[in-house]
Amino acid sequence: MSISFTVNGSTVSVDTDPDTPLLWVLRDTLGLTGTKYGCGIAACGSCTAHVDGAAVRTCVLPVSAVADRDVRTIEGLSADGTHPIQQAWRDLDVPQCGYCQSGMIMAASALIAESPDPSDEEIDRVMTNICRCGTYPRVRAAIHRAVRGDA
Amino acid sequence: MNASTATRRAVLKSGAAALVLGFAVPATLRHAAAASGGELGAWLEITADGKVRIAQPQSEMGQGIWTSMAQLVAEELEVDWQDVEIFSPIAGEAFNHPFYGFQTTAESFSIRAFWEPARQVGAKAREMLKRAAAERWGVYPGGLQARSGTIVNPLTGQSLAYADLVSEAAKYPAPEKVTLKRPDQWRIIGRSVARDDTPVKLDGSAVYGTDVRVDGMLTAVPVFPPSFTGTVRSIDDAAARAIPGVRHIVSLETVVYVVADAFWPASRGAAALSVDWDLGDAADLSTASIRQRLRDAVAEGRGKPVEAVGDVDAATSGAARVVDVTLEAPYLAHATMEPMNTTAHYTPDKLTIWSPTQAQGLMGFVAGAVGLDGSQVECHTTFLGGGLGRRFEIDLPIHAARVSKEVGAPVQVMWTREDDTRGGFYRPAAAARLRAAVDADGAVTGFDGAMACPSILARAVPDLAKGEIDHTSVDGVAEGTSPAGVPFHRQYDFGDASRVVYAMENTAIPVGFWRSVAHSQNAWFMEGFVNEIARETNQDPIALRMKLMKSDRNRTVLQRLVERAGWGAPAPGHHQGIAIHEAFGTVLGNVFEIAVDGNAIRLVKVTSVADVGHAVHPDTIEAQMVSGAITGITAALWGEVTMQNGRVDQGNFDTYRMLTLAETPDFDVEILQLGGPVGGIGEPGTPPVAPALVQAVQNATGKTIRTLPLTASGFDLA
Repeated sequence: MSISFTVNGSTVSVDTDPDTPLLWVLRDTLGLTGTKYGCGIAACGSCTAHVDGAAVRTCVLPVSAVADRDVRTIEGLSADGTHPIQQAWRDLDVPQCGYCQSGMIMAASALIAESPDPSDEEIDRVMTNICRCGTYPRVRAAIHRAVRGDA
Repeated sequence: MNASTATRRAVLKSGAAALVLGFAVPATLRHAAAASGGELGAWLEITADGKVRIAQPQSEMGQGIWTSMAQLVAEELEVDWQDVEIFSPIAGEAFNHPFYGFQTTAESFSIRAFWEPARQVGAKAREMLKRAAAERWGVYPGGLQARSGTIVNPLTGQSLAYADLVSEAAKYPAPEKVTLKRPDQWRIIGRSVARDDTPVKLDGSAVYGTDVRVDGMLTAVPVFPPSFTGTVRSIDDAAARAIPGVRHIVSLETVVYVVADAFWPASRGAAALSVDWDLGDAADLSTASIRQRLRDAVAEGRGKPVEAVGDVDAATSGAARVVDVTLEAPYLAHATMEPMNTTAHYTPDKLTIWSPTQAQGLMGFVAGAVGLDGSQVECHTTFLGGGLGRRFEIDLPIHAARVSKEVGAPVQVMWTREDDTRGGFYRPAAAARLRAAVDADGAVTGFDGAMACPSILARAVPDLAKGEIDHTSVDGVAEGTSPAGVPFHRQYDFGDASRVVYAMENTAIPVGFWRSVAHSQNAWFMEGFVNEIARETNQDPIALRMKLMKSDRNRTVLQRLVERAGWGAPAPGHHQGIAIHEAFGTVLGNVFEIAVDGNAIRLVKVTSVADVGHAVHPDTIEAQMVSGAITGITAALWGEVTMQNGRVDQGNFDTYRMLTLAETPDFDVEILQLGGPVGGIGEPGTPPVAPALVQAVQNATGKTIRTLPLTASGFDLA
């Protein structure tokens, strides 16, 4: 069965079992390996991508659910790493091992699109992505920096 | 042991200097007249347009070695940091660890082991480039200067770029002796340069093990038995083979792999596979019975002596008071963010491996598993989505090589999160009974310790577990040298009489190296013990430590921690706990400030002070201190792997909980550089967490807590 949707601005058509999680269509059918597998039960958020602008955990989202919708992955967040979240992450050297960071950045970019100057409480509530390396203090600081500048 | 001692030992052991530049002319030597650029041994390449490519052979798992190692080389090479490009080389003998003698990343031992050798790589290359310029100009090389990627003759003003000199320089033998720069001359070491791996970790382009893609690659997902001693009796694969995309079923006796076109069909095939297992002796294994066995061992004081000084029995019988503390710690899983994986391609002549490995130098064993020789392995190291010691094991590389050989195609072995959590190689469960003989003035006159845990080395490196003593089980509590010749150390002097015995209680549960290894449980034991001595003898825990510490270095770190944390004056309603530990060449202490309401804990603040001797990249050190602490917090609160009837209870993050951003306390970190031998930082942040946090909880509640995790005593986060 063929399912069409846009990924990072381009239309794709995939011929796959409609129950296949979007995560595996992105990584294995489309070759976009920036979105990561961490748990498979939507607990860690490493698989976060945007669907119609909203942050979604793709490891539990069947590809059939994105038919005719707009998907954006970490590879398509900006042309050249210049999204304010990416810039703030670079300025503060947020990543350590970096494996969770694609999902973390996609969650953070969706957050600030929705809430332009999130409070710490809002960051606590929305940023539930797991980071085993403990980059959390810098994630918080970088989100503030991305919206408020070099404060 | 300091880095230079370790280097000399490695040189004597291997009979050749591990890190000299290649003497041979590179096979790809370009025509000197037509082009510039070239290689200077395995570590360096200078491109025609002046880029300085520096090999970085250690495994980058978040600890920042990717950047820091190159800083060491670049400093001595005299190049501008902006011209540096860092690359991950194919594994090879040129990258043997100076202490271990094979390429590996372990024990927070990259900067400290390569501290001199990596700088010598840069310095020797610099001198070879000077010599090439000297020959070109017909002058004595001693008068030439190296700066910013050029050799300059200060008398004539002539200069030549490294790119124009490298092919000549590569012909010379590396000089035997070079002078390294003094710390006051450093321009790159000590600077928190932008981490070189950060950009690729922001845009999805960084390649981790799971991202490796090779033409014709298949993906293999395992089916494990519900017992650590399970073996295949028979397989019913009809349902698995019916899944579109499933290509092969491969039995490796103790595990069966479903091999498919990609992960999703392979995992569906694994779920559909039916295996009849012979469960073996560990079919009824339970961690409860193992924990009881450890408790009994230390209560009885059985085990081999690892330390015996003076007459401990006389000291305890003559003491005014004996402080007697029994503490326990559970099995822990690594839970790296990237689950376990390795990619291998077997052909009859060559084995190619792509892996987020910490043990490049052990791939010869992987070759042997498929009938090849170590010289026939080509090992590529990817970024690691966390290592934590788990990726030192070569179980997955062996599985991947064997499956690839069986199916005749490149294979990526990918474990699910559940496979990873249940797959063993845990931090061992442990118990310790520690006794102090204390006189009427509160001085410790004797120390009597009994320790028990399964041995990592008995499986991983049996030669190092001679005499049934494993230094990784006792380091941090006992002082001495193992029968295999490895020293272990504690920071405290407990008087003229001390005895420690160690019972090696091995079980079928595979145990392995977890972040900070022995120190992860032994700092909990030792600091919990010292805090208890203070409490029972009405001594201030800081003053007591100051008296007991062998080294002024440790006292300096403790004093700074006390000042920085405002020890003794928490905010109203808050409570503090303190611990300090010495491991991997670094002294690091924590103060935890918490609020407790009933059994609900709120983590308010962690103050952390460490002395690392010299800081190559201070920002990375700060990040690792926080990282190590968060690993420790997670373990102290919830960390526990339990088993019943041969099966592991935990599986995914719903049953093996990870700390979240909302739960993370504020961190205040200070790095000291007291100028001694450089210390490691990947692991030291973890050991002092459990004892400091638990002391804070005890101070807040009056409860006595002798086991981890805190949930076992009814506590949890608010």
